[in-house]
Amino acid sequence: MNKDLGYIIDNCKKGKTNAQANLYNMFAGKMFALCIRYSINREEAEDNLQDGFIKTFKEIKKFKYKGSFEGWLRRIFITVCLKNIKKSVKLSPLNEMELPDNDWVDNKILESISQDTLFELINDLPYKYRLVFNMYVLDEYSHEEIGNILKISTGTSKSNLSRAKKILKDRISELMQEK
Amino acid sequence: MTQEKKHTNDIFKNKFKDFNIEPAPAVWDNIESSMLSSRRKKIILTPLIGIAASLVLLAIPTWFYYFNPFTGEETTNTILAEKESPVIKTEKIEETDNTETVKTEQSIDSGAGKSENIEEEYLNVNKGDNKLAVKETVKKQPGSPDSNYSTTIKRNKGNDIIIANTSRKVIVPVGGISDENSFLAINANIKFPKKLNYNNEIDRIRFNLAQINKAKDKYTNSSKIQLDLGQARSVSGPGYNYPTRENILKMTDFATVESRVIKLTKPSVKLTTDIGIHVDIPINKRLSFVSGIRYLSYKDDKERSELAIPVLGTVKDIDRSIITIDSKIIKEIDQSFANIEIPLQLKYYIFNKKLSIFVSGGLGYNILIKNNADIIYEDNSVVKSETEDLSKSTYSGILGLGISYKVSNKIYLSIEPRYRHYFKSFSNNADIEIKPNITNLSFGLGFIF
Repeated sequence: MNKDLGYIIDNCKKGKTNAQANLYNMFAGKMFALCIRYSINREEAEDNLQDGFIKTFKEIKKFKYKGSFEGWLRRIFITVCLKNIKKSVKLSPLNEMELPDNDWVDNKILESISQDTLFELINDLPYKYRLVFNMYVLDEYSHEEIGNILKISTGTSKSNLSRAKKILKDRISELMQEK
Repeated sequence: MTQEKKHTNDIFKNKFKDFNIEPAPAVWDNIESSMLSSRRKKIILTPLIGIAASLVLLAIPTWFYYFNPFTGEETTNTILAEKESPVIKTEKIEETDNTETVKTEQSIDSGAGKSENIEEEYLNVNKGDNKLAVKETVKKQPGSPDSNYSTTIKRNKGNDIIIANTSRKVIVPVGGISDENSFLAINANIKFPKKLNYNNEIDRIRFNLAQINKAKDKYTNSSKIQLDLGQARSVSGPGYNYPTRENILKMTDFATVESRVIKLTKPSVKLTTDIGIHVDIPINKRLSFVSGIRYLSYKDDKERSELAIPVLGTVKDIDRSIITIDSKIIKEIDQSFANIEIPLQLKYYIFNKKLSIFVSGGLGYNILIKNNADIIYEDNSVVKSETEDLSKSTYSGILGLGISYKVSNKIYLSIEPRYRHYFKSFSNNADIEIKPNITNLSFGLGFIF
């Protein structure tokens, strides 16, 4: 952790407003991107971002300078986003069968796609698949952890992931063909 | 997961590692106003909580003022602990690389305007294996009504300061003490007296420090030295073989006169003096080891008889040449002896506050240091002799049950009935066995150090 960040965190613990603003400015962009990935729409993402930072400032005294601050922050925001998931969203597919995983995107093609495009492609996934994809691929949760958090079975988690990957692969292929 | 799949996932992660999307400016405005409104609530609530807490703190000493079971009228400025002894200890902490200083600045009313430096190391507490110290330096500056003073708090890096007394813990977070509320928290476990007579903050600090020290002294099982004075009648118990008429004759070498009635009294040994000094060394908060030195003197305790009878043993050097029926005869024989007793006892405090109740038990080793036998003739002349066959040393078991009362932090009074049983006879004479059971009452004046 760099000295500046440490200083800002110390002052946030003391409740100083400038330090809170500095911390917000440092991490708002990244955390908003994370919130968008986990939220249904932008409005919900902004609400989650707001709630996430309020919770951060209230709980910052619990941060004991062990491990990465950004990692600690991410966990807070993911928790906030998942807490606000609408209950009406059904996360279990009708068919729990996991698709074969041997048909994933070519790495070279993947690397050629820009950040913004890839972000849009992921956000266009059906919500239930997007959630699992984000948690497993981008935030490194295991299927068991995903199952516990989202209250689904490990099988459902795997199935949702494989369907997400299939959809993404198909859309990336379409994109390449257009080009 | 195959290497390739893992690599694909890594590509995704790296793509979004530093991915930023700028939120709308209104988001920060909402966050800021939310934090501000919760701070406002704290500003209103904190003094209300403080007032409520102060009322409770005032109520408690008031209750003790009227219902204090130990000191009666004197109840102000008394701290009563819920537990036996406080966590607060007095060992010093050494400043090392691991010690850091947290400074805060606060304003106080300087009152009379005198310049003072008050430096006190008043709290050293244990947290696990870490010893922490709180050292407070308060410097009052004269002149302006609102003077500044600084508080220096020393602590081990990375540790919370835990300031604990017997009933509550106050935790000062690692970030340090940042505002006056934290300072109040340090003193929150001190009960304020009935009259709040502080001219300024410094007087309040001094008062609170004195209370903490008083609480520390009050509830520690301290080392003591005690002077004892005791006297009581003894009770002779089983083990004394009453000498037969023949034995008496043998002992005294008297010629008996049939017409005289030898009236033998019930023999006993009377403890006439019990004076000593002992040291009380604490083993833990309830148990102490006691040892010292006592002077115990004994006398034969008999009713007067028409013939003098040495009940404790043969008396040396009776001038038999002058003993005749018609001439000078022995009116009385007074025997006495004295021991130095070295007690080795344990003392257990059943209750150890201003008033303490304790039991003690152990052994005493007695060494004979004085042996007198006064032969008093009818013409009142006295011949000094001594009793033969008295044991040079004896052993006794000692039991006691006592009460002590702390008059001040350093002085206490004690009263203790003691029971002694002698395992070894005072006499080496095979015909005489003197192993009395003695009960006496001992009064003590003790000093705590």
